[in-house]
Amino acid sequence: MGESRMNAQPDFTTAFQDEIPNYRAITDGISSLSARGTRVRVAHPRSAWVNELEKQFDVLTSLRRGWDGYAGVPVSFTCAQFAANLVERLYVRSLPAPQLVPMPNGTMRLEWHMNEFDIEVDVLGPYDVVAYRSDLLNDSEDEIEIQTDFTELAEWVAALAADRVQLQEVAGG
Amino acid sequence: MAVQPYDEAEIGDEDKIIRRVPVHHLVWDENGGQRRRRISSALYAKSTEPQQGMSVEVEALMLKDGVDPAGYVTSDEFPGAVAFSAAEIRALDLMVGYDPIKDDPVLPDNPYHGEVWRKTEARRFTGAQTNGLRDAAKWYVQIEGVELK
Amino acid sequence: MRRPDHLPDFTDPPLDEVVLGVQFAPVPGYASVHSMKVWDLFRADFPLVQELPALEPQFETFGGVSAQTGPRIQIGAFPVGSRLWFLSDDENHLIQFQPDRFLTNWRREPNTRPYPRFEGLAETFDASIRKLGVHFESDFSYRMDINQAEVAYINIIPVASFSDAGTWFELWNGGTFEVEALNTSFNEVIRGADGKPFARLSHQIQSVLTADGKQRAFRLSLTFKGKPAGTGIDAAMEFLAAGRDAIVTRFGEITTKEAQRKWGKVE
Repeated sequence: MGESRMNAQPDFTTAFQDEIPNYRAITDGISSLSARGTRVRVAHPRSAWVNELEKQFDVLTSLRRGWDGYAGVPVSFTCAQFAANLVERLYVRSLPAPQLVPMPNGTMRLEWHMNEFDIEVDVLGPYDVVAYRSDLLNDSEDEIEIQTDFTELAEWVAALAADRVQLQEVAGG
Repeated sequence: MAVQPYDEAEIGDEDKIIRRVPVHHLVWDENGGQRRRRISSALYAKSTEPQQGMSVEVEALMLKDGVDPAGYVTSDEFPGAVAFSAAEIRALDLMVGYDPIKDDPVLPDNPYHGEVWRKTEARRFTGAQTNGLRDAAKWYVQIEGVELK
Repeated sequence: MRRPDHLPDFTDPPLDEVVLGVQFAPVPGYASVHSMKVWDLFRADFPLVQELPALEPQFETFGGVSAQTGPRIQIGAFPVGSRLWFLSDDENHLIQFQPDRFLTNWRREPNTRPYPRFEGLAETFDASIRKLGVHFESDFSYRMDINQAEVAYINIIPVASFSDAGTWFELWNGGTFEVEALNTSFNEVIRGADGKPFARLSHQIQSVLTADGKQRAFRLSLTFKGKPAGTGIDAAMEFLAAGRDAIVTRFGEITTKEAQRKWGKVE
């Protein structure tokens, strides 16, 4: 883009945006212009999972050193924040929230054990995830390493809600 | 932990190697038609630092010092413990050695501390190693209402 | 750095602010008391300082049903310190620093200045982030581990009426509606050559007013945000250049020919 014009630009704030539910400007925070406005934005609503787990996230990031009887450290804030992001992304209304398990070195894990599946998701850091699934009905195991694309993991989680017994009967299993 | 991974010859194959079970490593499992409490496989994970392993205690060292192992390894935060034989650990292509904790600014001294290491540098135990530890583990101090796996 | 030939060019674009930024793993051992030494790195050109609340970490992930890029969640002990703004004398340039983020903003106000072009901003950003990186290595033995980068272009388009949206945007076909307020946004997933998603291009059009309600404008914000291919500064700079490319190309696609003529599109 070329030279800018020389006319001064007055301060603008958004028109009536507070009345729009779930509004959040995409540049909120990084734009210096938003700091000049005085309107309060409504935060993104969070899923039931994140609401339910917020306290547990707080517990895990506040663990004392040695919580495991050895040299365990609390879950790092960055790791927990990324895990919360992941929990939000994987949310399925009909399913229970994952169980949160701290690891001694400051990372953490999400676990589901239901519908004859074991799913364990190791959040080793931002964009550094290893997910493991054991299918107890078919006696099979899978492991995937994930950086940004959680589509396959989301399919694993969605399968926790599938009617597997009926599927097996239909398949003649 | 500055000790380089190694396998301690003084630890006999029959010696018990203890791993504490913290409350945060207990999970609910609804598979198999009933809801039950059990130990997460997270208990059998190693540190992701390539040269670090999985913390344990060596029972023989405690007995030699006249320390009650069950009382030493448990508290409200880690109410239970499991144990494997050194042979079971070695059968998984792992090593077990001494790694005493002393003069740490935060942690209490633990002269009975040891580590279970992989023979090669890696972020994790293999799936077979994790499952093998889980299958070999027996209660040393049982937590009521909690299953091993 | 040379401006790519294929990008649309304007002599008088409605650009109001450009932001370049990276997010990195928090500096281990950093405490608020260290902020003075960070400011010292930039103080010669940025002699003014302000303190603001810290920005929360953000991560662009993909897959699943949720379109949100992350909840706002207060958990545990946030990395120490708040966010500092280091401002130039004319306040048109600023650096934003906190223990896990570094951004630079150019803005048209308060003292109207010519837009220095992306190439100029990127060069300055590159030099600044490398200076910061050297400081982290020498004082904290920390090699910057970048996990996110973003570039944002914010445009202000003065209008007589919000019903004029169709005059400016190809997206809008409002006919004869009397529009009181407009807020529309959408995200596009950006995939790499390997087909894997790595960034989002977010679009937002908002109707804005001055405090006295007398002047109207549309704010068009285009933000490219995601994970660079590597964790070093070079990879971040490549990501920012790709983001600029996507944003300027998209700007040309979603604004009308009539609007582009008014902004002096170079044919």
